[in-house]
Amino acid sequence: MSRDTESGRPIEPGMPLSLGLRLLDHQILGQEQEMVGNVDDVALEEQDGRLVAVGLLRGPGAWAQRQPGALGRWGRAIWRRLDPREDPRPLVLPLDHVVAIGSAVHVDPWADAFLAGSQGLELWLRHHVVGRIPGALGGDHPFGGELASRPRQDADLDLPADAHLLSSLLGARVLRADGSDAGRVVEVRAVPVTRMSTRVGPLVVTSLLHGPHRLGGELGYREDPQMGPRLIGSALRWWHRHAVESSWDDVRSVDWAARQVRLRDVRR
Amino acid sequence: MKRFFAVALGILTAIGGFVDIGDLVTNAAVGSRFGLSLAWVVVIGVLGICVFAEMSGRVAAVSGRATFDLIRERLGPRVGLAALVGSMAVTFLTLTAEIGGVALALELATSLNYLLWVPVVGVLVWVVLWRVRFAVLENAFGLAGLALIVFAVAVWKLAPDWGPLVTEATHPAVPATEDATTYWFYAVALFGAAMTPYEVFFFSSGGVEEKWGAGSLRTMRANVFIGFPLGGLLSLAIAAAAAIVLRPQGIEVASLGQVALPVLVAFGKVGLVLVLIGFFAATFGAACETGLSVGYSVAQYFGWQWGKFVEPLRAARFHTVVLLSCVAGVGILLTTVDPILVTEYSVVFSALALPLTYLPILVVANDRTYLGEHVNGRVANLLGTAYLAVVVVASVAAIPLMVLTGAGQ
Repeated sequence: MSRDTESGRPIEPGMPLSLGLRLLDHQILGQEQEMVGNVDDVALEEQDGRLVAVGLLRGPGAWAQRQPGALGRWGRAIWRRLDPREDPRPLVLPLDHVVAIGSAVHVDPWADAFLAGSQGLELWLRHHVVGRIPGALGGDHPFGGELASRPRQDADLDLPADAHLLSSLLGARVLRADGSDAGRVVEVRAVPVTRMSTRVGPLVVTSLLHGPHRLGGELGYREDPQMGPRLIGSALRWWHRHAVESSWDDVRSVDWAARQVRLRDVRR
Repeated sequence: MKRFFAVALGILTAIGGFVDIGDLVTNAAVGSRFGLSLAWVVVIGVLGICVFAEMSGRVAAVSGRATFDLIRERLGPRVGLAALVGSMAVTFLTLTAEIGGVALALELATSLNYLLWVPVVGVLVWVVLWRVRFAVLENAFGLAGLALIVFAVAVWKLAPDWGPLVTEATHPAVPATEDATTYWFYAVALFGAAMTPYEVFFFSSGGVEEKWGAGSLRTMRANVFIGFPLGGLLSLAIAAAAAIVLRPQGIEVASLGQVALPVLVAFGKVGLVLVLIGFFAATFGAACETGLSVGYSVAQYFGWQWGKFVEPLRAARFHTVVLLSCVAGVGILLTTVDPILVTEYSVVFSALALPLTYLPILVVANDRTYLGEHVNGRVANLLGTAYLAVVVVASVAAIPLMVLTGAGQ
């Protein structure tokens, strides 16, 4: 049962999904509503000129990458030091294991077992701290099943070396064909590759929203013109009035290292 | 009939659970210095917490997302982290103040120095958070907190000259003995005490703990719109009692004993017993709420499993955070810092942390993909926008006023 997709309006099939607003930073829930992390980033792959969102990143490694300056460096360094692997990379959950995207991201049983079994800090505290306090097992058992207390090693779902991150596309500078500035990427929209599936599956990026201001872009006022309160809504719509949506077909190239998107020459 | 009792129980616990150490101390301090001339702030603050608690409760009931989930997803990981650090600091400071408040109440009851009680209280709070079921925790302390009604009865028993009190409350003005900056400093403190962010964290997360659905909305609204205002009346009664008994004597509230004094004057020993029960329940209940809220906010920001609806082993990080905050709170109190001072600072810093908490609630309460037909109506949006403006003003003014007045000296 997924409460949010029952009572609220689910994300409509066929409608482009705003990755920054609807996917990034959302709670990931398992079959029994157990909380198995947050979407700390989204993995993107380039395939024949298309950009496809393929997986969700979860964990301190991905989280630290999105923090600025020293906090990000330190967070990442601490995470690398504490991870038992030699060259740890953030964990990626393929979107094939995502069942639904509502106010939370619902994953299938395999994914929730996998995510639950790869939370290093949780497992360590469970084993060494909380598990040793009397009464740790008392109470209700809403989730049932076996409780992981040792890290899983059976699956290798590290971020591929050639993958890109949604967080580096959001905020990237957009340049027109003539080199003039077209602001920064505020939102990335994508649609499922196929609707003939019980899963969400990979999402093909269809367009970029870019404009001079990023602030307030994640609040969701561009999505729904009716969304209130009226004062805040109109203020934010005014703030983002110069934002434009460019189809992915109009994107000539993305320089991921410099975080720059170049548009094609579009004559209207 | 069963449903009626459920609603009644919810309302009663909302009344009893509304008042915490911040409300007790700030209202008594304000009453003893400003009489009822700041009563309007309590009214505004209580309406504000009703508006935002209802919104956060509605989002939690319909979508299953508690408040810090919303903060992270709408403000992003960076601003979200700033909000987390700020509100956690405030909530932790409040937890410290509440533990101190329980210890002070026990000192009043036993004449044993409160510092001896602090570690005991810390352990008790943690044991309750570790083992006691959520519903029991909420109901037991909420109901016992109703003992504070004795303040309202005391006001009636003291039979004051109502005329000047009513005039003061309805025609607010800065008293001749105080200057305007101090008056506004206390206005911000009262506002912060009424609208502390942990209340929405606790309320919305509690909704998830108790598995609210869209069908729980009516019960939730009854709790908020009947329970909270009646709880606010208790706050006003505390201020009125202080205005009647303490102000003529020129006593400025600097201890929990002085807060209780008016009831002692009105009822003697019986009153004292009731007040002490009320103090204990209100502060202990709030210590549990703030302790949980620290855990809720960290866990929701990072997406960790949280809550008392799962066994502790399944939420190891959450329970570790709760345990560490109890230990750290006790540690701070054992440095012999005055718990009343901690309380006064915590309510002012609350005011500072408010905007980043309430903006995402207001925004998401308007999101149709989350709430469908249950999105904010016109009244909720009007009040929400107005309060957001008030909250921003209070937040900006908090620190300058604190510096200018030397924290209200």
